[in-house]
Amino acid sequence: MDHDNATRKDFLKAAGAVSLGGALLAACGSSSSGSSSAAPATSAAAAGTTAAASTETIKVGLLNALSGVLSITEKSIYDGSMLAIEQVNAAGGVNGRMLEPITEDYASDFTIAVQKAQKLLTEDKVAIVIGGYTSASRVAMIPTFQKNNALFFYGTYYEGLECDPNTFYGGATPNQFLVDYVPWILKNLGKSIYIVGSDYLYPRTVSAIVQKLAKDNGGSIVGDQYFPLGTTDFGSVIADIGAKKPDVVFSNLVGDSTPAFYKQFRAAGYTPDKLPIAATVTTEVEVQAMGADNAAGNYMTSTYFQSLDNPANTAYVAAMKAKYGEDTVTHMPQVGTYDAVWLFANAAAKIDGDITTEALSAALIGATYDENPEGQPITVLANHHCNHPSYVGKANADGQYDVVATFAPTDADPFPSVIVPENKRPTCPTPFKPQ
Amino acid sequence: MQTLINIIAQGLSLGGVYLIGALGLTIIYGVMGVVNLAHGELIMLGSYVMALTVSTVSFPVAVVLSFVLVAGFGVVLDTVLIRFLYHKPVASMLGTWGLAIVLRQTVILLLGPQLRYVALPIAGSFALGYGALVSWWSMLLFVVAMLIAVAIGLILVRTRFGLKMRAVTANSDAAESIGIATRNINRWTFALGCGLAGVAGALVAPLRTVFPGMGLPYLVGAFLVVILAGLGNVRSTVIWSLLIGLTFSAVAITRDDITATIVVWCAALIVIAFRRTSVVVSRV
Amino acid sequence: MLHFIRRARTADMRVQIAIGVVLVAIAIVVPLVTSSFVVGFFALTFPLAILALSADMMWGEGRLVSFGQGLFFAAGGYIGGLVLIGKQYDVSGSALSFLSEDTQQPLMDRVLQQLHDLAIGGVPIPALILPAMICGVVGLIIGMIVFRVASPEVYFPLVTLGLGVVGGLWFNDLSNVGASNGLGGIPSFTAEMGPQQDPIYNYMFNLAFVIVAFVGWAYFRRSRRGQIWRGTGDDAIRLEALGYSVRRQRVLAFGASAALAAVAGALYAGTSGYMGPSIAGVAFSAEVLIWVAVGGSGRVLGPLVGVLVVRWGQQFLSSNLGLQQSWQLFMGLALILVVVVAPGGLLGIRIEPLRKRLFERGETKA
Repeated sequence: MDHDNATRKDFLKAAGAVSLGGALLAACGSSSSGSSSAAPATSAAAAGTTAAASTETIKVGLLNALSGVLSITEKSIYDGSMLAIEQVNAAGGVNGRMLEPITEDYASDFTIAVQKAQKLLTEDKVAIVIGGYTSASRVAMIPTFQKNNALFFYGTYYEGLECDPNTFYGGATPNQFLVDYVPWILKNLGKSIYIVGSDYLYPRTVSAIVQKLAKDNGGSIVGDQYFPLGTTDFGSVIADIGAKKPDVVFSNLVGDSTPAFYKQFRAAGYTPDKLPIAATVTTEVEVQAMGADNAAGNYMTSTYFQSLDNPANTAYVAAMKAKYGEDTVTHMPQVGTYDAVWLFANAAAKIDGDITTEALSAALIGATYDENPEGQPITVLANHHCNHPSYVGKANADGQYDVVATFAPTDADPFPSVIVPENKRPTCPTPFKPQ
Repeated sequence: MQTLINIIAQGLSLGGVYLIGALGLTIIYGVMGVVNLAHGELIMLGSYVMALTVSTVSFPVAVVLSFVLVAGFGVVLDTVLIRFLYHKPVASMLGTWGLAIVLRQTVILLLGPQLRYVALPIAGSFALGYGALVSWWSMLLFVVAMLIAVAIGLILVRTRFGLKMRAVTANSDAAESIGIATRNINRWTFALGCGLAGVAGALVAPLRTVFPGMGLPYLVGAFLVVILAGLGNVRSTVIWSLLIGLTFSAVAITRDDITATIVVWCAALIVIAFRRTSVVVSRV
Repeated sequence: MLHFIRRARTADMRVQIAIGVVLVAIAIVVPLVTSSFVVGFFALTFPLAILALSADMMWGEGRLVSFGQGLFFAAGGYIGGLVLIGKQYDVSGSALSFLSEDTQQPLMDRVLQQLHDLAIGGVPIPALILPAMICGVVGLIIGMIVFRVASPEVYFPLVTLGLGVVGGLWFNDLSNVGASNGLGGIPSFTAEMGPQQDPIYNYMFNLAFVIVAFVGWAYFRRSRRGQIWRGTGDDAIRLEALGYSVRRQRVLAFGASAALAAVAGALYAGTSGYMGPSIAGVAFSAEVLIWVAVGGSGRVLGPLVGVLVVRWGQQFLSSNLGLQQSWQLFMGLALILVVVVAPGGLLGIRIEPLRKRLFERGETKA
């Protein structure tokens, strides 16, 4: 049949489909309370609880990639935030009001992330959105928060070089762990460094900082290679490392590249006593994936390790395992997001009356959470970032890290003077630009 | 000299990985005209079979299991989906893309999204002279890939099944009319293609990372080979797989991986641009 | 408008125009009866509909499946985004700028600022024209290289796949546009028209472009050039024998398709405030094709219906039904279902015996 001729059938179909879609959207969309989604399926107790439009709960948006490539790590970050919400509610909520989590999945697709953020802010009218994982996810969502005059709490460590007025940063910036880590490496592992990293902003920024710090402390860089995300074939760079003979390999590889690299490196004959790897993103999740024997003996810097021996962490790990299973692994970005929920709750408790963006923004600065699994209370600073301790860990045969060095906590500085020239440092947070 | 040896060793190993991926793609298209975009996910399934069974059975048994289970799954897939897509390139692309999504998400739901670990059966490396080191396993990958290619070639040329496969590839209507059960040939060829993917997944698992999304890079690599080698031609596939592996490795070792990817794809575009296999005479 | 109707000699053309009018009427009424979220949802989805149309331009009539539309969409978004911002660097977009001592405003910034100021009625027009021009030319050049091959139906998709891979890698490293973080903080085209918290301005602006694009496409299909273009898909050899250059048709079509995708990208960047390298990649381009397949390729409204059904379906399954972890599974199943049961897409559903259609040879012409 010649598809060029529009028949009445086509007319009905087309108009029908579009109207149906629009009408259904309208029906679902225009009722402000009707479209809150249920709690996720992870905990057995959570059935589909539809929320009535109640002034007794505070809605908190949780926006993470629960499916797709990013979900490998982001799902466990989400788990951490859900635990925090449970704990806050168990402790009586925020001034008697319970937190109501509204879960959204952006499926590792940033066009969906923008949509979901919009939905959380305009439909559900949440008090704050907590989540995100990669910097790209954060940068994609920020314009929506600015347009709607809302706040976003990002819990994962990142490369810094940003200070958005609508965003709070629960994770560490490179100055908080690199400034001590690199001199430690030069002193304990060797002077010549070969850097490998995944190809995006975080590894490149860390590499720039490492190179500067190394040169300032008498070290040298013999290689600096980047690999697209998802690369799992490292034969060529391992061959190059063999040729350049560094004292230590500095790894900023992320995601599934990390276990692949470690395994292939070990398979090629490099053991940590001959050539150790010092990493910034080889968390307990990656160690679990590569097998403890491939990780053992290599180093990692972090503001948090699952093996940290302090009361807050013992309680935290126990609670996570009780909720999610004995095999559950806890790691840095998860703890950052867990802290973010608690910081929000503690800040909101200080507010009399409605939780508006202005009030919350002011209350968050100076907010504290004492049971921070990192080992000391976490506080939000005026530049919207937090203070963190830092540690150097050495992987052991059980797949955990033994802490071999502890450094005093430092305040976050997203524009560290070690790499950012004085004339380029903006005020932090940067002034709000209405869209 | 060390660099040259490294380039050759890494290039052959990488070429072997490309080859395994491309072989399945190419025989499936050749015989039944289906562009199988779920090929990466079939490799992923093979890796998962390995990851889940290797702690209870020995490694070689796990490899055989990967072949059998994924091939068996291929028969099921053919019955419920693939046979509606024969000789429809566009529909098969979209249908198998949907299949890929379904497979990926099902694995995430049933087994969780986390990365999994498979131990190397043969660890360590050996020296190739001039200070070049290569791991045993990556050399093994190359050898196995070549063996698989030879096996396919022999099947095609020396067995009755292979003869029928070639007949169906050449002209399935004519084949049907002389009594060849094309229905069966199609089904078993698809199963064979899946089984190969399963074996590929089982073998790469120890050196890489097993997780639901691991399949896509293999698909892209396989496509690259197929663009240049042509669909349905085994010998050409072998040659181009190794060529691409060596080229990539040469640029990657001397410069970096990203440049290597760009160079390889641009080179592929150029090669196609100068091909003269036109049926339609095209003027400017 | 009247001239158009007078020229509509055939009944079906009048029906087409009637469909169009009804749809436009619905589109105008929607913001009045729905919430601001729905309006915002449509505002974000309209550029995607134009993107889907650009894919169908090659596919529906020309039988050429492009995996590269995401690339041009992203490129258009970047170019348009830079002009909309008026300079290269923005605090949340290009962090690497902080690592250099350079304080003098680079030449490119001055050029971008000039382009940004070339506004008509407050709308920076170059942000739309520049993406179309640049991507159109790139499309023409790529087309000239690619369409020398025989059976482009098979090689064209594979080559555009490669383009998507390389393009994604390249954008990921381009610090002028924020590298892997992407370009954030892009102001809207309608920034001068009203407060951006209200999505109605973007809605209306993008709707205008959707109308122009789809009406233009419908008109083109009926025109003589459109008929020739359909000929390249139906029977290229015969067309060539009649004296038309199939290759030139394809090259021009690809250039136009790239330009349209770029305009869609610029619109999207202005509406969402963001454009990133992941959007240039193969996965997103494949999604675009899914939209077209679901709606029905080769039909004027196919891309629009497909986009709305799929995006709204995603939204419904994941948010309203709470199926956060399994909704992608349903999308995959739906795609399989559409391809097998309704290969002509939703607009091509026919009440023929299913069995006959499932097993017939060759691509089903909807």
